[in-house]
Amino acid sequence: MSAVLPAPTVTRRLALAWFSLGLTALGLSAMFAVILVVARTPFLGQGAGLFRTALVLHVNLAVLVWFLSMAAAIWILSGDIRGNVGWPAFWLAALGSAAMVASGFSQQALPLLANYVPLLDHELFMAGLASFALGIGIAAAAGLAVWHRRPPTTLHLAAGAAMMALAVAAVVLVTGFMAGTATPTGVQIGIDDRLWGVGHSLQFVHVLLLMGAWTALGEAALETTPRLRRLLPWLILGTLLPAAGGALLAMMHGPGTVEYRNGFTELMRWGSWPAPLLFAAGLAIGLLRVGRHRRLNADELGLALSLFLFAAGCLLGANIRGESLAVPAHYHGTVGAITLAYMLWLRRIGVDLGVASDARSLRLPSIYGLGIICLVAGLAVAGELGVPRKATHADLGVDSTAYFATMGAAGIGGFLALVAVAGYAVLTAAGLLEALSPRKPGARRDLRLPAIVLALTLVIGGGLLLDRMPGGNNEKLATEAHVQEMKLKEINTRFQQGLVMLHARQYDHALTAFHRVLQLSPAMPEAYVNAGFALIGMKRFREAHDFFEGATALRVRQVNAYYGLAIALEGMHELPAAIAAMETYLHLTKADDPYRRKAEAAIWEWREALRDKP
Amino acid sequence: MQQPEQLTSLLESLASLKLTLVALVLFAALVVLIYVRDDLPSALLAAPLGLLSANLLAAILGNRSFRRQAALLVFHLALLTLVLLLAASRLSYLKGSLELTEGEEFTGTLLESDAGPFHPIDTLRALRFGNLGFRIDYAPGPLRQGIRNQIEIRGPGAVPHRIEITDQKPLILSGYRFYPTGNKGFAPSFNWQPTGGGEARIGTVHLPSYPLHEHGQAREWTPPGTALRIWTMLEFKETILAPDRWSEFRPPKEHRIVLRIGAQRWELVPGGIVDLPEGRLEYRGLRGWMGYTVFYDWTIPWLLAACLVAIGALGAHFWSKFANKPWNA
Repeated sequence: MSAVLPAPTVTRRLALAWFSLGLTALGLSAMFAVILVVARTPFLGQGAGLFRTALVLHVNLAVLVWFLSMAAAIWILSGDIRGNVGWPAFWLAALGSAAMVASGFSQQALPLLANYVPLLDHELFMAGLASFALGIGIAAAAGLAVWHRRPPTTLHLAAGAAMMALAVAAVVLVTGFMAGTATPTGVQIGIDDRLWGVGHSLQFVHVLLLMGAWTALGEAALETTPRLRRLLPWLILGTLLPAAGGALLAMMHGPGTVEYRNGFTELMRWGSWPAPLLFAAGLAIGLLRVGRHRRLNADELGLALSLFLFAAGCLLGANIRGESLAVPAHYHGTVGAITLAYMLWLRRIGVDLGVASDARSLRLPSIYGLGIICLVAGLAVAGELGVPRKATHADLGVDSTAYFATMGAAGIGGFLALVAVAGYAVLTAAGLLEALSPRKPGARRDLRLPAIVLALTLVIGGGLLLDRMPGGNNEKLATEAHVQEMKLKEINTRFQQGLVMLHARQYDHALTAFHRVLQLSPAMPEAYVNAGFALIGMKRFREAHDFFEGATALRVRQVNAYYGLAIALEGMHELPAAIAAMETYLHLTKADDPYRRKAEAAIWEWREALRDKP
Repeated sequence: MQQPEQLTSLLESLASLKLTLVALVLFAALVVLIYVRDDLPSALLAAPLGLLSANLLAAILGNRSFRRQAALLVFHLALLTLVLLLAASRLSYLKGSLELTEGEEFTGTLLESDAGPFHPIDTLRALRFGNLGFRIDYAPGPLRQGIRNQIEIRGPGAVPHRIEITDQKPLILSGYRFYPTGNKGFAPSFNWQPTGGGEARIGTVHLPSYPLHEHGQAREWTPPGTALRIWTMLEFKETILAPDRWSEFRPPKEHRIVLRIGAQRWELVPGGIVDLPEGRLEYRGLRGWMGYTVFYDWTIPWLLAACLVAIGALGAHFWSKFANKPWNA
């Protein structure tokens, strides 16, 4: 079976153009990742000035542009979208992507490390992102309009479901930006709040198309598991339905509210992974059966690595506690699984579309997979050690042996993956460009245009890189100081909002505010304590208990944390532990503390209650 | 059909190697002239560089051998970029100098400057930073060691913060590179209160560079709003920079300031006052001043990139030549 449906020439060229855009994004994201790996690896690591900008561009190019360009190409091939709609959509996305990358070289583009869709605070970046989103939106809409014309194969179904999930994401995006400046309770809505829903909704698009890629790559495995093949449409539907719930959620609740934030988190937590994981397990069994009769080929070995990475990513996601490196370990697992599957799928599609395949690129996807497994393992163990995320080695100043070992492993894995990705991108792009070239066979090639493009790219790229080279440029220090000041300002605003909400007994809104404070400043015991009191107000005593424990772990003499801990323990009906915590509070607090008498009364009351117990 | 032929002919004339020779000779002559005559601006070099660019571009467009030799074409394009950047550099560069007393803020004014006609001078005028003080050690000789100058960056658009700059590590603001120099000295500080209750003004007098003018620490100056000519000399007996041991540039522990207006003479220590018919002059104390050179040329990283590309492309071209036709074949 073909990796995609056969396509006429116009559609083929359009799809190849989208694949080229995706590959360029993949290659550039690898370039930016080099900066991240260098800054994260202990033996190389310096607090590179470009770290946060590189992080923003790496994430956007790898997760938005590469994934969604692949998706657009698949939609074009499966829907046979014509050029009059397809080419404008492509150019919107391509120019938008170029603008996003170009904005990274501006000194004024300050990185905003928002979740899922990190941003550069610059008009060019925002315009580029909007243009890219519009291009993808048009491609998906055009695909949906003609989707019914094709025979309903499983692959076609997965592509259609991904288009529908993107339509949901578009609704969520529009509602997110149509909301006012503050929630009904007066909490300011930030850009992170507005992108929270769409960031989560896009995950459904990615996993649905991942299932499509696995279907194409695991054809032999599916032959040995006919039940899985029959179940597959239901698994796709089982992923699409929770995705559709996002549109309802966005219409019922505005961004910035607890319901909105928690709703999308829960939707992704329970809706996005079960069906793909079940499919992965079935495919793994199928691959084992195939392996009994013959040796698995390179694509099937790569598929096995992709299945393993996805499962590892899901398991690590279930184990996340706080803002440590366990978070990137989780998403590098799942994102790595998708990237690996797409790399394999693209090569297969290329063969179907008549693109010359370079034999040297055959093993590169598997090398990438092994590198990513090494990276994920290193990050996961470092996360267990409590190493925080979004910081360079120089920022941390940690020098334990375990830290060096885990981060060293992550660095080596990262480099391996990057080399494989870069090699794959260059070799595959060369084949794609050759296929896109209008030159007739046998004609002598005029090299002027490629030479001009190459010379300009090298001079402009090299000049920009040299111009922005870290070290000695004092303005970058000023920019860093500015970012820090903006961050402190937001921490202060959110903290004050949380306190106001707490006193107004608006516990859910208070919790949202303190949650944001902890995202910005994960080591702030005061925020832990107040989040704990908000949870007590919501009668969520066990979670409150964890927050108070977190506060005391950060600062042993955080007196009010012991008071809160005692109240939480009372709520959990653990009175002896509550008495012990309240006594610690009395021991540490001042003689004139206004809560002292309440604490003494509580201890007396709890002791009486224990005495009355049989 | 005649137009393309005319165009080809024009292109061939413009690509002529004779024109290259003329442009190069013109360039060399102008370099010598500008070096010899201070009044000629280096922006004049943009003319022969522009001619060389046109010559090179015509050669690139007209020469068919470039169409199939990508590396050779990349080399010539990099060369063209290099020439254009050099011309742009001469039109937009700035070189200058300034002096700041310890505690003084740079307000965008230079003592001396030499700039291309298209230099965006308003950017420089908006820059603000303060000289917080400096330290310079001297080895026996005395031989000057490295300068360590504390600077506070104040704007525009920056959160005020402090950094240290040295001889090799300049302060870089909006592409302007400020280097501390060995041109530094002492600066007596005065408070001038005009008679009749005008606004009091505090100012410093930058005495000649020290130790270069060790025995000539005097300067004449005019208080604001007056026609007075006050000759001011710093007098001290202490050896600041010893020839036989390590020492540090610093104000003398004990010193006097000698003032002369015509035949009148005064000797002041910090806090000393001279009453004149035009106003009251109070000597506040002695500080140091630092001379800086400022340099701006946005083309430098691009020039380096173009050079590297040119070297790489030429290397690749000759590599392929030798690989195809070994010299001993």
